[in-house]
Amino acid sequence: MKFLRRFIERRQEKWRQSRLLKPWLPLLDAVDAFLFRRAENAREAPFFRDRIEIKRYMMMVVIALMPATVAAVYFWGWRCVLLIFVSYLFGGATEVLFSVVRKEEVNEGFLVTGILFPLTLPAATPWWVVALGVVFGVVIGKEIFGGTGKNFFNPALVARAFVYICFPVQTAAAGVWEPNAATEGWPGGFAHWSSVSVEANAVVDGVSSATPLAARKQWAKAEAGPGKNELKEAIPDLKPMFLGTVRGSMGETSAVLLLAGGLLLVVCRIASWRIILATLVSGAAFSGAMHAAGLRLFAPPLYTLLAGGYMLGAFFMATDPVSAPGTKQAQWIYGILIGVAAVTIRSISGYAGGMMFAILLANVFSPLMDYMVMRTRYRRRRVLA
Amino acid sequence: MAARTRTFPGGYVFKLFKGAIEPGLTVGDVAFPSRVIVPLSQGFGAEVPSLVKESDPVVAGQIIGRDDETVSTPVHAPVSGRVAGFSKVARPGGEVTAVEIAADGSREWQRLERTYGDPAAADPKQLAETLYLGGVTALASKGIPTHLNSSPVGPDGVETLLVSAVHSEPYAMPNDVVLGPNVAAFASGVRLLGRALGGVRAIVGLDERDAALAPELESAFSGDGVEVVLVPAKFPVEYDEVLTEVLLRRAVPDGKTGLDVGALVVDVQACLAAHAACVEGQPVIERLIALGGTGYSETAIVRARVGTPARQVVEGRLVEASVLIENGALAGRLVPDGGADEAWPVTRATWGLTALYEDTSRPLMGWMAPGFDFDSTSRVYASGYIPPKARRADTNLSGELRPCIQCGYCAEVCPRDLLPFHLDRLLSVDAIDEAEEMRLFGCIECGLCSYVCVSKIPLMTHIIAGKRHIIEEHEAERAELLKKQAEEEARRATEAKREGQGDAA
Repeated sequence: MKFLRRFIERRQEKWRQSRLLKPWLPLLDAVDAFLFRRAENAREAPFFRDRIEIKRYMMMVVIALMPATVAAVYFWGWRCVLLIFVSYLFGGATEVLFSVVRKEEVNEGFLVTGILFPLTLPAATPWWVVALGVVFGVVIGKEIFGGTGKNFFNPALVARAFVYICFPVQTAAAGVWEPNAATEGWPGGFAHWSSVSVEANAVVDGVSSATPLAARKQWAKAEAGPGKNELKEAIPDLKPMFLGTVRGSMGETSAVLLLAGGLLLVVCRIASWRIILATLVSGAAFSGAMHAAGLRLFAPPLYTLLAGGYMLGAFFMATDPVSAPGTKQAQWIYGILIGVAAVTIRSISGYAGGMMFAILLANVFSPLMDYMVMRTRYRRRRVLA
Repeated sequence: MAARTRTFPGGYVFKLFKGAIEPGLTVGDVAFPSRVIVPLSQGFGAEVPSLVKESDPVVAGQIIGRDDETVSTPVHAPVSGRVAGFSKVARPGGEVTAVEIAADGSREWQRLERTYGDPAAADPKQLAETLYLGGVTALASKGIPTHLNSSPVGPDGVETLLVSAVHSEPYAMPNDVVLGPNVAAFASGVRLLGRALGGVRAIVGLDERDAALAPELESAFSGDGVEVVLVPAKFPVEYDEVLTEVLLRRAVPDGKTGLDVGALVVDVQACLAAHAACVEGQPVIERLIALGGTGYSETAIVRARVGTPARQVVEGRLVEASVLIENGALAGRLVPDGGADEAWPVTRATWGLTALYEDTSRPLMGWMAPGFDFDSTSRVYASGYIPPKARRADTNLSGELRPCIQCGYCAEVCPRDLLPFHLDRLLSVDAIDEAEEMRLFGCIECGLCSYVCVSKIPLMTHIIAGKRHIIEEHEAERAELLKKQAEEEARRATEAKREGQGDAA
């Protein structure tokens, strides 16, 4: 290891002196910091510090996403890994480019965005759509606001919204690909590059190809008659939705694995349990109440939670600390807004899913929520200095 | 009477750390100093003028600096000998003059003029005077109020005496050494402090972990009406403002201390010093000093004369790579050059010299380590699940400076319910008024926000700088205003003069 360290140190020395290479030092520094802990020591109180650091913090989120990622490979084949790789490659390059221009160190926040974004896409998404999306997400969702910590949208969701709107044909493939595991059993996608041939992309088989959300919507909107019953049969049961053997985006289908990863984040105290709880409870309660009131467009509570990107959004998207509110009280409001908005959008709008738009919407309001909470909080206790 | 446990929101429990001072230590001695450096401001109080000149002979216990006009407490010669000269020493408020004394080796000290066989019957005013002359009144964050100008608050301003017998820092002075064997002296000290303040009621906040001491303390206080309350060892419970809130259930307004709401907070050593001064006639010329931390090859508690160079106190105990810190590792101050030049002394306000190992190693993928002995607010390391193991403590920041990601840890641990990350954000764009509105002055500078920061942002340093900036600005404004007023007056005076002349003409 000493050899490696000396190698990097010598490179740093050389790059610093070379006019051509000097701007690229942040890249080398990032590699250096990634591999070896810095020998920086506290010179002001407190003289010893909490051992947590941003790399560990971000990496825990990536680790929490691992069950869902492995499941994605099982369901849809190894192509998923290619898409994640493409996302990291292009997003990372963009990140490095910005840090070189800014003469700043490369930030680790991208570790999360890089994997979160492809997981929201169907496994059949063309790789260039992933590349374009992630570059857009990093630039427009984060860097133009000033980089990590200053963005007020979740970059992964900005990227998702971008490809959702610009490449509807390519990303509609969610309804086409059948998860392997549902049809083949073990080893499922682990034995395949991708679960269907490219030609299958063109074959859209009306009823059976729908995602849980789309299937339910088709049924709820249909006229009464024999056709409606047929549509009803296409609505998946809760069990496959819980396990993940339904159609949908790569990382969103398996509620149980997302729950496992999400709970890990809560136990590690990385994700705000307030946001998660508020999102889950408000969504389930709102949808359930509307359903009970006889509005068939609204799904029963459990169906709401298990369908679409609700779990992924609640545990991994809404909890992005930068774009979520920082005060506890505002986090409750934020979660409730996401839950209610997501259910409303997915139930009565033209869109099948609502989580993405709901979180982006709540992102917009999160600074305002923080502001309101601080106002009321500090009105009670005036400055007396 | 059962002692109750009270707590407060926020804060952080420091579990067992490596280099912690183990229970059951006996107090050791350090070599008697041949030369002491005595700063003319020690503990609370303004710098006092020296009463001695170079080559004057002095006796230990003799007052060598005193000023009854300013808010201050007299300073004593800690050893007998001759004044060798004057120098400058860096102290928290800036540089202060120090008297250097070459010791003659005698350990005798001069008793205070007036002592009390039965302090309970003594005149409160006389007691207060003895405390002042003995240097005890400097041993509180804003001084112990007396009629002798030892604190900005008058003696009538105190309603309650709060004693902090709790230590929540990893390397603080443990109760079992300083309090355990001295319960009678401690009780006497608390009683006579209460009496000197005009018979105020007293509450002792005792460390929960030392609950075994509670019955003994209660019996020592029986009939005095002194309450013993168990408090959790959650940092920063021993801080003036927090202890007042915990023990009195009374909020301390932002920017104020306990004294402003009528509560005086003192620690165990101050009570023992009060007893020593009033009963034994010994001024504050000695301190118990805790030598804890990973920078020591062996931890210890020593008794040292005030003015002994820090280097001499820790002599032979440090490991090679270490930094020396006066008092706690969380909000203490770095000893200049690690005390290398022997010109940096311990004072009567020093309770510890913490030494931390200076880790400059660069382990491969250190951030991926399981972390069985890493301390963290989060639970991302194995130490969060596998108890108990002594945690590692060294000066390495263990991470790079990064932008704030608003993780909220700082707000969670803040004992004052502030939003440090938001204050930092406001200060970084110079939004001073907003920061003041967001309770910037509520900060009590405990350092927990900097401790827990994921992005390694020195939040406390930024907040302290922001406060200082605002205070300076206010002062500048006031100076400007005064200057304008003076100019105005001068102008009016000349005009009046001219008019007078005009009239005369």
